This record gives sequence, structure tokens and C-alpha cells, in this order.
Amino acid sequence: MRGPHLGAGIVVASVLLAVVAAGPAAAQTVDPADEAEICPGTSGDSLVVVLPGDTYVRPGGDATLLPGTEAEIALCSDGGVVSTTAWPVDGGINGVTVGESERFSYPVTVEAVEGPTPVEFAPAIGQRGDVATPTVTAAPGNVTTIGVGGSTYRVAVAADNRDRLRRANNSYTETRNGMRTAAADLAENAGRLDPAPDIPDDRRLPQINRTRAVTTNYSTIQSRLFNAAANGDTGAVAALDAYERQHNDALGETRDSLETANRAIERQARSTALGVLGDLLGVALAGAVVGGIGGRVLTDRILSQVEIDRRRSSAVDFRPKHLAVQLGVAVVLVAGAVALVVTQGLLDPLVAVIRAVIGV
Amino acid sequence: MRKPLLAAIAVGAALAAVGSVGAQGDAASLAALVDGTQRGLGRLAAVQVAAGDSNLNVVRGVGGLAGVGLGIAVGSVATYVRWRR
Repeated sequence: MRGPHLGAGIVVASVLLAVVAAGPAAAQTVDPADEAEICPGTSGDSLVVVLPGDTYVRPGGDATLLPGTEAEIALCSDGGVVSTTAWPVDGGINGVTVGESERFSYPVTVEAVEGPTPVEFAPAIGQRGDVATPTVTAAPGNVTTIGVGGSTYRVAVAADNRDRLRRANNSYTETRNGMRTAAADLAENAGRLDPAPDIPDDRRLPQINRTRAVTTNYSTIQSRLFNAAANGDTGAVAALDAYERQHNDALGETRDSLETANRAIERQARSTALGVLGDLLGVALAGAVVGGIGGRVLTDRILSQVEIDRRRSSAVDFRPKHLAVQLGVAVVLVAGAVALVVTQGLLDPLVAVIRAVIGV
Repeated sequence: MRKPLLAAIAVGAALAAVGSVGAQGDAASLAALVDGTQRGLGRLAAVQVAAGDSNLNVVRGVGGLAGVGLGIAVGSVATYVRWRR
């Protein structure tokens, strides 16, 4: 998943350096006091498109605008803005909707278009005569609002992608928050856990084990926002940045909680295992003392008898069979212990006990 | 005024792209952490099975049987070895 996103980011950065673009946001009302910013570099009658963020597109410049973008058009003449009474807009302008005139500008909103559509200003202001205009293109897309954290961002996405973006955003937010909350709960309660042994491991942490869903949804969101950013959507870039911060923060908090929980779980398992192992070895040690004394007494008796018999006959000597009874009893007892472990289902628990104690 | 906007867009997009690589890595390490947590909980559950009251008595019984058996074996062999000397 890394390559495509990094590649897309580089492409986005390259494309954005090459074209003029603006995302959906509102422009500010033109004021004659700003004409020094609006009109420089123009000559004669020049139509200027005022975009959000004090961005101006003058004759000779070009801009690709997305549906929903709100801008203004102003007329500069000899370095000053001209009152709208002097340049009425007659009829519509292809690709944009023209609003009620302000004193020195007309508000325009980019319409939804099927494909890249040139916005022709000149015919609509034909009464003014020869007016130089910038090259403006309306690009297809739809504006939607997505919430990231406590903020909302207006993003231009194609209609068929809008629902997918919203679904991915909702699912991403839900799963990410679920993971974070569950991890925090686990960290808080890990020292008092009493996990039911009949629950399979893969179901033990259903809320936390949703990393795949979070990653998939995040990739979907990034992909859609990258596409929007490639079309010059500043809202998409801001949303990407906000997602990045939220995502990193959420994953960081989840990771911290899980690390805390893991340490608590490990401590609890080790403490419990030491208790079990202490019981096992303590009783085994006591049993070994008793068994050792018993084995010695029994063997001493047998050996004493062998010595007595040897005094009567040199053919008598100690043979391995004289230890057979003791060793046979020992084998039976150890085998009984092993059988008890297996039949009582304690093999895995005892292995877990040993592993918890030695920490592997 | 156009260039600062473009530069901001480009830098933002590039940072987001680079950041996404780190985010993917973070997600992978988080998944590994989740797996570790599941294993830890599984081990804790197994240990707690052994520590349960009834099972703990069985564990003690196992220790006793094995201890006595090994004690008999060691005690007998040690006594024999000493006798042979």
C-alpha cells in the first residue's frame, strides 16, 4: 500500500506546481481599497477572478475550478476596479452561476460539469467592449463535507466516490475510536483480568483487533482525498493533513494503551505462574524427600539380605533385579503423574506456566 | 498570491503522502502489538486454568507423585552405589 500512496503524493505535488487550482471555499467581497492587489499587471479592461485565499487569476493566467467553488469576478481598468454598473453581465456564463451584483464584483459559483468546461466570460460582458479575460476551466466533481476530529472540510469528489468516502470515513472513525477505547479499557483493567479460557484468542480482543479495517478505510480515504487534491482541492489537502494527525494520534494512544496492558498482563501471568510452580515444586520436593527415604530403607533391607546370603554362598551377589522393584515403583509413580497431567488437560497450562516464569 | 497557495498545497500533499508511509508502518506495528496482546491474554488464561482451585490440587498431586517416584529412584540408586564402594 505504501508505493501507490507515495507515488500519488509525488504526482499530486508535481501536478499542483504546474496548474492553477482552487478548491471549494468562499471568496471575499472585492473592495476598491484592495485594487492594488487585484489589478497590478493588467492593462486596459481586464477581468480578474478573485479566488479564496486572496488568490487572483488575471488575463494571461489560468485556473481549474471545482464545482462548488465560490469566487468573484471583478473588472480592472487602468489599474483600478470598476463599479459593476459599468459592466453589466448579460445572460449566463457557461460553467458558473452568477449571483446578484455587488458594488465592484459579481459572485460566481462553479457549477457541476460532466467534463472539463471552459468558462467564457467575454460574451456575457460584451457590452463593455474588448475585455481581456483569464483562462478558466470548470472541472467535474462534487463537493461534500467530511468531519475529521472536531473540524469539517469541504472536499470536491466525483459523485460515485462521495458515498464511498463518507462510508469509509464513518467506518474508519468508528473502528479507530473503538480500538482506542478498547485498548484504554484493557490497559486500565489488565491487572484485574479474569479471561474466560473458553474464548478463542482471536475473539478475545474483537474491538482492538480491527487494525486491518482501520488501515483499509484509511487507505480508501487517502486515495479519494489524493484524487481530490490532484484536482486542486485545498480542502482535500487540509483534510489529508488533519486525517494524518488524527490517525497518528489515535494509533499512538492505542499503542501506548496496549503496551501498558501487555506489561500488566505479563506481570499477572508471571505472578500467577510462580504461585503454581511453587506449589508444584514444593510438593514435589517433599515427595522426593519421602520417596528418597523410602527408597533408601527398602534398598538397605535388600542389600542387607544380600550380604547375609553371601556369607552362606559365594554364588550370591547383588544383581540389577534387586533394584527392579524400587525402580519399577518409581516409574509407575512418574508415569501416573504424567497421565494425570494429560488426562486432566493440564499439559498446555503447565507449559504456559513454565513459559510465563522464564519469559519466553 | 497564487504561488504561496500552490506551494502550500504541494507541500501539504507531499507531507501527507510521506506521512501515509509512516502511518502504514504504524498500523503494521500496532497489528503486531495486538497479536502480542492476544498471546499474552491466552497465556494468562492458561496459567489461570492451572491456578484454579481444583486444578491446583491436581498439580500438587502431580508434584507429589513425581517427587516420590524420583525420590525412590534416586534414593535406591544412591544407596546401592554407596554399598558397592
